[in-house]
Amino acid sequence: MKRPILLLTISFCCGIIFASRLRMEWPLIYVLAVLSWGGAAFLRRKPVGHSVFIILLAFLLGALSLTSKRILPAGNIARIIPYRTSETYLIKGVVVRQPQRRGRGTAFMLQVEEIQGKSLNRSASGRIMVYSGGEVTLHYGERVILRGRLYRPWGRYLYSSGIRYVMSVKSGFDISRIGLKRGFCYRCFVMGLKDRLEGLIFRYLDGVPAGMLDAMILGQRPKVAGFINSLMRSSGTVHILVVSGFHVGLVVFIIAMFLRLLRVPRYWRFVISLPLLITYCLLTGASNPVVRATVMAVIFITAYLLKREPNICNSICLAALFILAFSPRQLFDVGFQLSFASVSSIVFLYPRLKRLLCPRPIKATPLAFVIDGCLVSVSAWLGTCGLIAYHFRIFSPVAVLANFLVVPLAALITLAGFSLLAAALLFPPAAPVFARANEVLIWLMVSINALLLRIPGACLRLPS
Amino acid sequence: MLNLTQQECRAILFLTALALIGSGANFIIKMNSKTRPMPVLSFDIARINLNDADEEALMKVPGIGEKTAQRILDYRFREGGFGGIEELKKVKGISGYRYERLKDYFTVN
Repeated sequence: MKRPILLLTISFCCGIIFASRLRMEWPLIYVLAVLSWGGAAFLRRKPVGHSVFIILLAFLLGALSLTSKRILPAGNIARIIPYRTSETYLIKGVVVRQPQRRGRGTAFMLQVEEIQGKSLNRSASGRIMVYSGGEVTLHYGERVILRGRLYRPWGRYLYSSGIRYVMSVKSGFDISRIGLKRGFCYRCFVMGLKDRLEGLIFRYLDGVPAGMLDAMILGQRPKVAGFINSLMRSSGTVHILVVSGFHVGLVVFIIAMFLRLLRVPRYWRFVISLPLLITYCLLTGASNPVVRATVMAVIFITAYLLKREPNICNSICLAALFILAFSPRQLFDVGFQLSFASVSSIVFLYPRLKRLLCPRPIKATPLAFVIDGCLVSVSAWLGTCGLIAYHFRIFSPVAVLANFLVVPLAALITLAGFSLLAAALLFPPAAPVFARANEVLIWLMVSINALLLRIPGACLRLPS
Repeated sequence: MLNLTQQECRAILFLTALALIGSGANFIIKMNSKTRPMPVLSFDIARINLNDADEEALMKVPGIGEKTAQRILDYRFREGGFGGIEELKKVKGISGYRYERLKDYFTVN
């Protein structure tokens, strides 16, 4: 079997689903997993017996990872604070995710260190999401004391990220900076760089295009205008506004081209690309699609460096295992599902559709490009339309055509955006020229979307 | 079934053994974790000096709009300044409840 990891990943996912449906005690799963490991080690020279035990072990490890996440240490905020509380608390902690504007307020994630209430003054752990009224200027790694009220998060999104409480802070007056910084220094550097790049985008571009470019290059979606979000969601091209494998691929391409210009040997080009890719992953907030694409790219590059044949199916499965091992609840997250469904359907459906519709190779390059573009678009749409209809109650037949037209344009915008940033950093007088080019391309993309949505039946709203 | 080579078998066994040991250690740490009492947190918010602040600074305080800010400025002008934070109660529109909500944001120098 060329794809052994596929079966192990499916088994791991089944273990997570099993543990989410049926609550089993952690020690029981652990003992079963240890016994399975013993069986696999004992039968390692017998292929069938060994495989059965390894698949069972993957299943039990999946169940174990989710059950472990449910066990909270004694100091976790969810175990200290009662379920219903209207008390005002003081919480000391470290900002672990860069604050983002949300409507009229600011949202950020805090790693809790201490908590103080009327009858409570203890060390604590766990993460909370903080919503503050007004604009708050905080940075990654800053230690702060907050004053506000705690409540349980709505919906499953925050819960799946391990957040059990949300703190509501009235304004910047209820935030006191202690001034000490703690955090991964490299990440602090990356966050500083991100702030600087974001500042450059907003300096050279107007509000709407700047928000879109910020989302496409740096993964900052909150600044995208509301009407652009709904327009692109309806046309099935909203994935363009999320940094994903497509963007990671472009970054690899840009790095490779740049190093090639400098006449760096092929082997070293790949070696240098690895840390730069990881930097880009951190720069964009290490969301699921970026982590997936980065892990896949790292596997491909490592396979080349180790002179082994990379298998795309194995690399997708390894990326899924990597994400789920750290955060098993992501399996139930719509972003995770869409990300893996789209890339898997492109990998599995595209070659089959091509064989079915074009049995003979096409010699004319422009025609081959058009057909390939359409087939990739159809494959991705087929893989994700069911999930989109289920989660968002939208069915967009126009998505195939929209993606076929918009994806190449988005590639151009991303390249132009990176050129703008490079120009703004190295030769600022040239930056306005790149900025105007970006604005024209973004305007064209928005216009195409708006035009396509005028086609009757382009986007159907399903009953909820 | 999986058709793994001996080398791959060993690698998988090694990685899963590491995962099991790590998971076990993590469980023991979580079960034996304790919270400890901490010293009282001192919350020093950036207080606004009532005798210095302009209208814009006053309006940054949650619960103070343009009208109330103007009344505070009028009171300061009329009385020649605030003698203490309690004098805020004398400003029209700042009742006892509202004063309790606002007093932590101000200082008088």
